[in-house]
Amino acid sequence: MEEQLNYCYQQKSDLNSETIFLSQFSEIHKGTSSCLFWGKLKYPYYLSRCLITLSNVVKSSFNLSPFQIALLKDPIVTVGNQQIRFEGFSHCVGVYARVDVLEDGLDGEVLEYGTTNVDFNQELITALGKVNRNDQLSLSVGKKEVGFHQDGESFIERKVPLPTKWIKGLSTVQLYFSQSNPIFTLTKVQALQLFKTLPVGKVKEDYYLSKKGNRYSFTIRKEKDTITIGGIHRLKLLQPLLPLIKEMSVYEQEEKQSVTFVLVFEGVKFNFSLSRNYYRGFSGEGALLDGLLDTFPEKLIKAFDSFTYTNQTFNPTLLAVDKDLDLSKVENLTNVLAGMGLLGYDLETRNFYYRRLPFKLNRILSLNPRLKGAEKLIEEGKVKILSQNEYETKAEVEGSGGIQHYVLIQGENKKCTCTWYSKNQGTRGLCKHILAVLKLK
Amino acid sequence: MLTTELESIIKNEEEIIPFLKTLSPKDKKELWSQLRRIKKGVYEFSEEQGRRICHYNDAQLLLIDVASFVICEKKNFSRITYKTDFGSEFFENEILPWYVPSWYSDYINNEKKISYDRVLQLSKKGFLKPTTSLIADCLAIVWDDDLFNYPETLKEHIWYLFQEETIISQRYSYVFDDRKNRRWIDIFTKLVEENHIEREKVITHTILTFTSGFNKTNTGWFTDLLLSLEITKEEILLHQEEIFTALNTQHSKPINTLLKYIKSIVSEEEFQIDLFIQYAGILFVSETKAVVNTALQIFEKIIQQPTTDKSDLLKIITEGLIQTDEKIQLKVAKLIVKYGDPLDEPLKDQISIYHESLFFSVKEVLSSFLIHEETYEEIEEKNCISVLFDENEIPVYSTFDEILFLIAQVIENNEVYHVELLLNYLPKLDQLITNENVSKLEPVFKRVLEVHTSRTWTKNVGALEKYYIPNYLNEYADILMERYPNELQKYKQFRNKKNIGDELKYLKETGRINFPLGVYYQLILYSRQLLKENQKVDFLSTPTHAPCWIAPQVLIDRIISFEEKGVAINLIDFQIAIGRIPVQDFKGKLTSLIQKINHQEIKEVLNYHFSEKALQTLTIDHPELWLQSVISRNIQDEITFLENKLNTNFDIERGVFKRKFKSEFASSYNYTKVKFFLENEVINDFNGIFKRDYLSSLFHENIHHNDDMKVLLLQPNNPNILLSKAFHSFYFGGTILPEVPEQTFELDYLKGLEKVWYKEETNDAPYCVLMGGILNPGNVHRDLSVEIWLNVNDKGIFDNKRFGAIIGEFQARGYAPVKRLTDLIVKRMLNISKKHNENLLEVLVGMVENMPSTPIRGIKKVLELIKELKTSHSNYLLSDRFKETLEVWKENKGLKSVINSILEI
Repeated sequence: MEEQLNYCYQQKSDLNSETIFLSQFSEIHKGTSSCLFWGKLKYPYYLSRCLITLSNVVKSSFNLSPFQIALLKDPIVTVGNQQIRFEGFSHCVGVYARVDVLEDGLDGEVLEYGTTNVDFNQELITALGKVNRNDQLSLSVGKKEVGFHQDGESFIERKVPLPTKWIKGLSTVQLYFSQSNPIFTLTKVQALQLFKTLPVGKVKEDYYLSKKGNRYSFTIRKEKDTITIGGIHRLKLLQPLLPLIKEMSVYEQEEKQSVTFVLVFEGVKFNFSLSRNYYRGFSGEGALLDGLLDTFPEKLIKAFDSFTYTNQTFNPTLLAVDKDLDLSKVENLTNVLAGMGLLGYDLETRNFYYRRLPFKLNRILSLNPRLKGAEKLIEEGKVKILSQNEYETKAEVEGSGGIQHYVLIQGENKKCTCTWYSKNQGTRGLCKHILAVLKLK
Repeated sequence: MLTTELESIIKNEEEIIPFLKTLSPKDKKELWSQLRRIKKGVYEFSEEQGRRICHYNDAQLLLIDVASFVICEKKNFSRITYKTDFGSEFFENEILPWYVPSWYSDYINNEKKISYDRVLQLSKKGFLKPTTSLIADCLAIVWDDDLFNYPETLKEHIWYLFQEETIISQRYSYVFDDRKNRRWIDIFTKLVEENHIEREKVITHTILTFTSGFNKTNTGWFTDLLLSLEITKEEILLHQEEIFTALNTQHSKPINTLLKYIKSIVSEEEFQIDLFIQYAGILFVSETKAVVNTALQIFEKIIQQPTTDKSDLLKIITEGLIQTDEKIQLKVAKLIVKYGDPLDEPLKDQISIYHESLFFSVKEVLSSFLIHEETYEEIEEKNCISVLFDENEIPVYSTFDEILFLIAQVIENNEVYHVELLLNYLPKLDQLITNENVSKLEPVFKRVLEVHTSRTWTKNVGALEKYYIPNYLNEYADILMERYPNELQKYKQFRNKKNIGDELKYLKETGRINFPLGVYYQLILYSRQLLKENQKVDFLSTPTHAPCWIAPQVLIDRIISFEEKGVAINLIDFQIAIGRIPVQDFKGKLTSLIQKINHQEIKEVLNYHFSEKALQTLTIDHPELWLQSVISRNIQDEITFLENKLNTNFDIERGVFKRKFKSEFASSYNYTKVKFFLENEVINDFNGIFKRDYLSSLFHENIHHNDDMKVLLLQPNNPNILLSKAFHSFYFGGTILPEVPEQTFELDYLKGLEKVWYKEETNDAPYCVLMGGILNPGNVHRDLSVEIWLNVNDKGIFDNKRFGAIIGEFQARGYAPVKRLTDLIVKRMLNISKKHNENLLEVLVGMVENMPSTPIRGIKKVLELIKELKTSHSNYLLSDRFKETLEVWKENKGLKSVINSILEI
């Protein structure tokens, strides 16, 4: 049976006539305040439409055969760097959505930096649907007055399967974001015209976003300078927002492993990222695995955690220059921090920002089965380095049935004779055999 | 002790509650394993009776469920019989007062198999904490007076029906005293009439459901509820803000209803114009025409009001020009002309955004508002028919490691050309094998064996990877095991353990080619021959560029290398290689290289192939060496020359089929069968790839979905026999909707066509397959076909008139709804560029020219499109045949006007 996480909220999130109150819950609450933000929203209509779309993302599932009814899970909210960000995944973890309320969309007080789960319930969503363009609204993340409830019994408890897939997916997405480049920027009309070419129904084939003349369209023919989109039907979730946007940018990950649409509104941005295909969640991609191999002293990680918490941004290059550190080490440290759920990534500013996932660190670190598999191989003495020099490493790793897999590492080029590698050619993260060799190297 | 007691209680149907009451948590843990054993033994499959039988009676089953209820943790709990109701009075009175499991509320809330009455009873006693979702679900299926039995029902619970998605839209109920079985809509109206619930609140809650994310059926049901309340103008005004917000709904039914309400109040003083117009963006981009039309009517009423800012409103209305429907665009244009000022520059700027996608008639109406005459950004003319680029060049492998990692992925079928790389590189790998590195092949052999012997078909794998490649590699593994018995022990153990016995098949020494993979089979045998002979030459036919092309210089170098090493050239290998050279102008570039070849006839074939010498001047001793080249070059004089010389024709080798239509009448519909056949069939039997049996198998036998592309790419310059076969097999059964497997194959052939259509095609087969794709019911097929059409037009290698003629020929026989074609044109083919519009006009004119004298259903839209395209290409000359057809069609009143317009342009 799947492990459950009981979210214990002190009360229900709700929206009364003037304030959206978001009840928060965190396994690891860092600060002392129970309220992270309180203030006015300048463009509440756009935010409410984006949050409804986020809830639609969270409720959706694009697996061929959903094994479980898609439950409404609770998005994660980060308050910091003068912005508020709401993020979540579809049930299958193939779609990631994040609503950024920008500095110019807020008029309020950041009481404390932090990241937390917020209670998203059907009533709140219905209430968000009522928000219209002329409404004045405030937002409260957490309750300002501590002790609003007299006893511990009054919390609201929601039980949903532990979103381990989310946690794994969240770290992968940040890395993919940091490797993504802007390809197209479309006006509202161009975006609307583009979405008129969206194929109807569920589509198994890859589609490509291409530009011909002044027109953008989704086509099925791969050409130079097109953006690959697998499981294109997932984009339908975006359609209700398009009439409201100012513009839309499209980013593509360097290795074409994800594509991200950024919808720009007044004071709000909606980031919408698709995994390589509808049957592949971000959680299973293993993009971070080799970065997680380096072991850093806990003290150093804690120091960087505090450093980033204070600064609210994290620029590996600047940090390396500033502290006179080896850049590759700092990049790996970035991976480690992202893999631990300590960093998020902003596509526009091209910076990591502090976003400590509201889950226990040991929970997060226990989520990489391939990494655990690699450690087990080492423990059992199944890894044998055949030769090693500064250019290449050759090794044998025992697989099932005692058959030895051959691992060859030549700089960035890492290969193995196992089925996982043969099938995916490294596009879905490294196999446990390569990971084990890298760890021993 | 406890376990025996439990077993005895169940067996003898004794009182269980006193026993359960005494259990401590420790006892429960102890009893759990016993209980699990009992539960496992409840049902058993009886071989004799051929069904599952139950070893316990109903009373015993209840006892087991009661015991489970008390003993189990949530993760272990499950009921043994659906008859046990954990929310029943029995549980309420006998068990829950002394034991309520911590998971009880969760269980009942999730299972939702309980009545509304029971929910209230249990929650009143504090046993159950029902969720709003449970209450709503139970209430939606309330059958009778329960609605009035509890004060909270109408006060609180009934509103949950508006918050939570239930099956209320499908339910009927006896709620009132009159015992009438009513729909819930009627129940609500009666409740409102009799003042049981507040009318205002029902209206508000109903409108809110439209943006609650309910599904289409339920949202439609709530729309009907709103309609049944017959809300007044005053109420609409009162609720206008909620109504405007509800326009955000994703369903068209409520929007239509709400717009009707808005239309009825638009002239009222209290109507909040400023607020409403902020939602215009949502309305004008709607996919539903009725929504856009009503929105335009409302906006016209607003714009007529003296206080409104017409310029601002028109800028909003302009958003309606995004619609691809000519009538809607015209309505928007007329509003702009009627109320707009041609000197209003911001408005003109706004309109210019849509310039490219406007219909000609709309441009005419808006002429004084349009800034530019033409804003098409010209699309780069490709006109480049090369297929050899740096990007698709396949790397050359030379070291053991490189070849090893290549071979490891062949069985996964990652690329269509990988199998051929394996055949080329395995003989080379063999020469690099030592006792130190041979064991690295073990995982490869293991995987091959797993795929080969697996009872399920591994995804992405074709018959080549499932059978023929494993046959070859298993045999090679045997050779290596003999050569290196110690080094390959692990693999040997694995193979022995698998106990595969007879399943392990090897290649047979045979010249068999009479099946669609026959050529591949021969290539496998050839690879094995090279391996056994320790030859280190490259296959002539191994692609140098993905997916199948060969650079001409490389081919000549390979031939020279064969001659230098004294290796005989394999005919099939040579034929495939010649067929994979892109047909483009290499004249003069290869002359000196060709001269290095010793084999006189091969040298002459290449001289001919690269246009160094004329075919008619050369000596042809072995036609099988020339045939592929002649067919690939596809020059009619040369084909005729060789046909005459050999006193035959090459119809089957070139895939030149005729087609025949046959009308069939079924009980409810008529359809047409399409058959491809050879007009003047002659029995050729050239050697190699043109072997009669092989060609025949290509046309008649099925090919696995993961192999068809590979077979097609064996002769990329001559794919027509396979394309004809594809079309023949899809539609021989009739032009009714193809089944799913056929759809998959059809898509494969379209993908193949996309890869090999880089030069002018004189055969009808590619045009037929493309036509089948354009008119296919599947979106993906249609989209891909449009892309192929765009691409071949960009390259200037497409005959649009001919394509239109084929569409006309099939459409005249009711091949597919014309609307499917016209919708696709409007959505994807129209207004791409001026040149593409001209190409499209040619297609449509060609189509009409091949239509019968009686116009078919839906043809009016085609004529409207021709009118649209002809207007912007007035220099285009219409053929006499086309005009004659239109003259005949003019007799149809519905078409007369549009035909006159076309003929007048």
